[in-house]
Amino acid sequence: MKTYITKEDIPDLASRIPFEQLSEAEQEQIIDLLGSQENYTTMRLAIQQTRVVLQQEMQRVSLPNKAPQSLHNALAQKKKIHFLLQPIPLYQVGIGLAASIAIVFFTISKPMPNTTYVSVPAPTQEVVHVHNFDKDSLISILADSIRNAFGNEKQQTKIVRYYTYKESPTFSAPVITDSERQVDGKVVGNPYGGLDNLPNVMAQNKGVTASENDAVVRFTYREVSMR
Amino acid sequence: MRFLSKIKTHKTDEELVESLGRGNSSALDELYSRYAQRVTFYCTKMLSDIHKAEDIVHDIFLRLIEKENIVDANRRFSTWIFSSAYNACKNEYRRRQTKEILHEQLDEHIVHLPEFSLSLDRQLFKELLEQELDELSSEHRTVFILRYVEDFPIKEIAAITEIPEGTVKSRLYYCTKKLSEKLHIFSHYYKD
Repeated sequence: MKTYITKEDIPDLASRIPFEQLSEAEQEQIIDLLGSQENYTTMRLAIQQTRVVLQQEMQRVSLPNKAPQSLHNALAQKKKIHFLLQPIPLYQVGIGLAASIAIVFFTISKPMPNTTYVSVPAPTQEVVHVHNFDKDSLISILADSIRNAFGNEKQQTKIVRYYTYKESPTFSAPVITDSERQVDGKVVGNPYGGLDNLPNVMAQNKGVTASENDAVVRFTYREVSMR
Repeated sequence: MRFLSKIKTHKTDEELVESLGRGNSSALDELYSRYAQRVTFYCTKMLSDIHKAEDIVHDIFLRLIEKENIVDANRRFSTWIFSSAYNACKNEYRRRQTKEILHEQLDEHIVHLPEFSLSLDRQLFKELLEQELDELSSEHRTVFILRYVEDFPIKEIAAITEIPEGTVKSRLYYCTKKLSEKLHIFSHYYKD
């Protein structure tokens, strides 16, 4: 079987085989491609001598047999942990550790089903206010309150009229409409809006008692305040 | 037993790389002793600058230490390291843009060593060879050095330079023919 040689194959052949050791067919092809045997031999010598010269030259490049200290330092700085003989970089170890902690936190330690929140009461001081009013004192207080609280002449008139009715033997509670209880456009929660502590009393929805003869009205309310 | 232990201690490049990955400093020394000189020489020939060549070799080994799995498991280490050197030289060429021939630096390190004495013919041959190599393009010089100094097969040169095997062979033919034409005056000094 005849081997077909291209010119690109010649350097490889020339570097390995002298012209004389080639087959006749190869010799013919090479002469066709290069022009002469001498050219092949020259190429072979050039390759051989170039190789020798360059390899000798390479030996003159003097480098230490061991890696320089800077490379050893770099290797020492790169600390790794090994798992099953495989190197694991430190950052991967850190990620794994953080993931493990997260799993333990969220999976194993489940939250308590009935959480009881215990609060410690702050120290408080309870004061019970009891105010007894007879008709005279009540009217006097209310009159002061009215004077202080209402600038509205109309309201003043209504409230005074209420107590005027109450004092009369034929007392009947007057009906005071919302419109009549408005002060500055807002409905007052009770007709006695001028009393300072009355909102607190009313909010407790208790504490307003009256004696049977309506002679005495008692206001009782509880005030709890922080010490 | 001693023979067996000798065989066992002669690890392949790839085994040494694996060992280096585990932080083995003796593997680093062994790889360095196997390749530093060869790669430095290759880069020196490519760049005509031995200092730059040494820097490139240092950087290659540094990357080998610092980066995980930088060497492809399917490739030979020799292919990887020469491929890295080839790319570093290409980058250096781009950086320089214009090639500078610095014979002096190479001669300073090589020729002036006291034990390096050549016959006149060989000295002339060497100088002419240097000149011709410098005149080759970097692509041609690379395949020439990898083939005739490093003895890499065509297939591996193609892998290093990332060009087809046919192109490698074509470049080799061009270089060899050009060199043989220039150096034919020395052929009578060297008998086959």
